[in-house]
Amino acid sequence: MSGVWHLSLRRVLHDRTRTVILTLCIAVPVFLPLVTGILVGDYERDLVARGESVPLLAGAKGSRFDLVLAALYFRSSELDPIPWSEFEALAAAGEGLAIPLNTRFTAQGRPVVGTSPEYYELRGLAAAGGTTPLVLGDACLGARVAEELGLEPGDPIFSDQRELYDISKPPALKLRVSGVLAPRGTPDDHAVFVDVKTAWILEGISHGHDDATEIDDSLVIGRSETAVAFSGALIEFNEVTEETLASFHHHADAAGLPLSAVLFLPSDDKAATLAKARINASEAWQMVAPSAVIDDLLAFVFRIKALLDTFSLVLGACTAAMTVLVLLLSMRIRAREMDTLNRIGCSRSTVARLYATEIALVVAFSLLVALGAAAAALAVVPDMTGLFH
Amino acid sequence: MFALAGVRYAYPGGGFGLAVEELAVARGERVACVGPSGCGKTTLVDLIAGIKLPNAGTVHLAGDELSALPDDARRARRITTIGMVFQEFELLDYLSALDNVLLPYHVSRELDLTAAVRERARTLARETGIEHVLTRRPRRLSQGERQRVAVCRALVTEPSLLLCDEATGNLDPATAKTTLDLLFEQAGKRGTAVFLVTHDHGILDRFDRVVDVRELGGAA
Repeated sequence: MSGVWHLSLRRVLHDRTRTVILTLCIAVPVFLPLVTGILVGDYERDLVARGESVPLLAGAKGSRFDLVLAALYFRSSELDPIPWSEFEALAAAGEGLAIPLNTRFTAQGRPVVGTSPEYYELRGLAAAGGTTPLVLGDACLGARVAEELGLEPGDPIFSDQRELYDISKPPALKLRVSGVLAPRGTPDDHAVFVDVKTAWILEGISHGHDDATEIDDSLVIGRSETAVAFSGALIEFNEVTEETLASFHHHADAAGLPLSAVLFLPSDDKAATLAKARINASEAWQMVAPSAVIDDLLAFVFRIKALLDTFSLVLGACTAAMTVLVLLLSMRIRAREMDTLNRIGCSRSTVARLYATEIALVVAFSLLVALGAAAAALAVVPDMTGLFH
Repeated sequence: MFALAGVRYAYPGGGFGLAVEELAVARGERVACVGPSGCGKTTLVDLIAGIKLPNAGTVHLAGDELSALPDDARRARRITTIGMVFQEFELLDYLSALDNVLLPYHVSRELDLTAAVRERARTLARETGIEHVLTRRPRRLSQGERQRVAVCRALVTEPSLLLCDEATGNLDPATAKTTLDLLFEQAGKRGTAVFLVTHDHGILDRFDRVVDVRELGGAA
């Protein structure tokens, strides 16, 4: 180590309080824009990539932001459901691939995504253990869900009951974990996937129970030509097993079965235009391009980032001014020391190098602190998609 | 070792001036410099060291005329040729005693800090009785220890000339005597000339020669 570096390091370590204050003052204006930039960059990349993978999205009329966030990030939404008939119409037109989504329920606090096998192909999802849902009642867990809940294939997971004190509402459903998805670093890691028909059991539209023709007459409270009324003592199954699987059915009109959204991947531009025109002509439904919605969302984010950048710039300027002031005062305080160096024959350039090296060391410490703090901050918020949950 | 001839020096503003018609000190010679406060003793030391340049006249140091040298060369000549001891010791409080002794090597490109130099510093410390405090900072040293560290710093470059500006002024008589013994002993080993500014007339008989600044040319 050269003498100048040695002296500067000794000096910087000797004046610990001054060094710590200066280091923190310089580190903060470096840390803030650095972390903001990285987080916003991740946020943008994640949002854009997920949005671009789904060209079109159909759902109920209302907030397009809510629709996109519900369909792409499984965020809870107050939007009305879109009926199964709209999915069938899109699928039947043969102008692209339609994928149903029901994201209206949760299981142990995690969103339950009822969908079809095409969704896994769209997102490149594959089971790291077990299988994706094959039958009613199967649930395939996102990697983070499995990790956080400590579940593996064969374990049960219960859906969250929406109305705990209303026995007319469907009870919690005991789902069987059929598999765990490989981690993808996307919102899919935070979700529980089931077949869309399983989602309708959660809705209370589909259900299973003992054969009505064979049950105890004491549970029958009325009969007509078209219907049989049962006592509340007839308990519906809250688990789909091999024995009960065949008994599950729904009484509603299939066309009206609810979905949160329909992902649509048109075969070409013409198909996209036709699908948008048909859906958007309706008073009840809308079809949006998620990438356009996300661009609008990002515009808000960048406006906030620009504001934060301005604050950081002002903070940086104040810090620079304060640092210069501290250094000037330090030079005054050290005038006697510099006079000694001058008298024993130290060159002017060496004195300048002493100051410069001290500043360089403090800046280096500051950068280390800023980078360390940024790494810690990014470790705490590793996945921006988690902010949506 | 050095020689001043026809030197005139005046501070900017012209309030104070120093004149030296002739002053020469030979290698190995011990010269004491006396005079009342404000008569120009420190200015004389600065002129000999090339810290200040005269308005007129010449200052020769080890054969070179200092005014003719550029600033960097003058500083290089000072750090390699002269060892300086100050009244307030002027140790750097953020360095250990050893690093203070080695300070000229830390701040000079002309001096290489080799293992031999480190050994020389330790030897000096042993000979001056401060070997056991080399890792300590100056604030944890006694006055006498600090002064010995300052003496070691002045001697570590094996200079041809020791310039001591009231080097014993802050010491009690016993410590002052010990310091002077030390200076003379170390200087004697190396044939180093000693030019010591002092107010202490009790030590003058230990010098080869005593000069009074007022008699060199008188305050202008």
